[in-house]
Amino acid sequence: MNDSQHLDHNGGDAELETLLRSLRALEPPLETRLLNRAAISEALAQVQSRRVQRELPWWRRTIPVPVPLAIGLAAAVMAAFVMVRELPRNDREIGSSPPSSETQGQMIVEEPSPIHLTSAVSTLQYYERQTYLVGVGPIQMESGYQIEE
Amino acid sequence: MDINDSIVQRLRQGCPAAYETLVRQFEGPLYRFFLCVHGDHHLAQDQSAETFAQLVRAIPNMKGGGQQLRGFVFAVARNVQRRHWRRKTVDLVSLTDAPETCDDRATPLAEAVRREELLRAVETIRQLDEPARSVLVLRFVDGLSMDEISHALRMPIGTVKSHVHRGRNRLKEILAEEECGT
Repeated sequence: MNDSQHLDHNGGDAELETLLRSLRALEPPLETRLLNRAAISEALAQVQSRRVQRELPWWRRTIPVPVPLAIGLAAAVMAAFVMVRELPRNDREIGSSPPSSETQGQMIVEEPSPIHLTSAVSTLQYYERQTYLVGVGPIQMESGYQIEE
Repeated sequence: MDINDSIVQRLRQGCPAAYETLVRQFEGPLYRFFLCVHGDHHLAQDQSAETFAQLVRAIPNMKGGGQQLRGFVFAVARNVQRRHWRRKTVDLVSLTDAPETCDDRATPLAEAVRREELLRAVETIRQLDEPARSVLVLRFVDGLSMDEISHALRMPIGTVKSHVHRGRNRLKEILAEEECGT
């Protein structure tokens, strides 16, 4: 330690130096030393677990989510699921009969009388096409006119 | 044992043996720093441990090598101390509540005298205002250079020198007043 880190030994500085000497000689108690090592170990373990997380593929990583946010998201998903289940049932009651296929079916509802625009050779035909998924209801609807010859 | 660049490199990699070297090097200076600043053993103990935990997280992002480590350690210590000031107030416990040190070679009388001197030193330093108190402790107790103090306390070197000069004069005044009082 160079001289500038100590005080000059003249006048009041000598007394200051005496005062500070006891502080310089102070060593932390055993309890403090143990606590320091425990803090280091704990922090190292946390850093290590974070490092392991980063090395995992993205689909195996976990992220901390606050509990209120998790509850809100779960409630929103449940509400959306119930709405999706309820709405198609109402639609089916208003519309035609349910699809015949068990898993997935397509239904073409044809107008009873096609519209004849030009000659008897070609006709313009209206069509409606819906795709149903059992338990969910209609997931796709398509309608329009097509020319049939 | 001084901490060189290779140890800093191992600290960045999270090597436990390197952290043991770090603790041995800095547990005394950090404890003395917090004790002088707060005058409370328990707080000094907690903040020393918290500083080491923060260092584990902060050292991988540290710029520089072994030369910069001392300033960096005390910069982290200063942040820990500042966070405490923001969320305090706790009732400080007297320094006399500090447990005995593990040095069992001293006789009870010598130990009592040593504790008395220590108590007086801490109480005298605590009469200084911040940041002069921290500057003086870092300079004259922990032996940091002006540059390291400037880095640790994030203040210009001229301001550090000014605090050292004024703090030293103020300490002398306090000692003189105490002598006149007794």
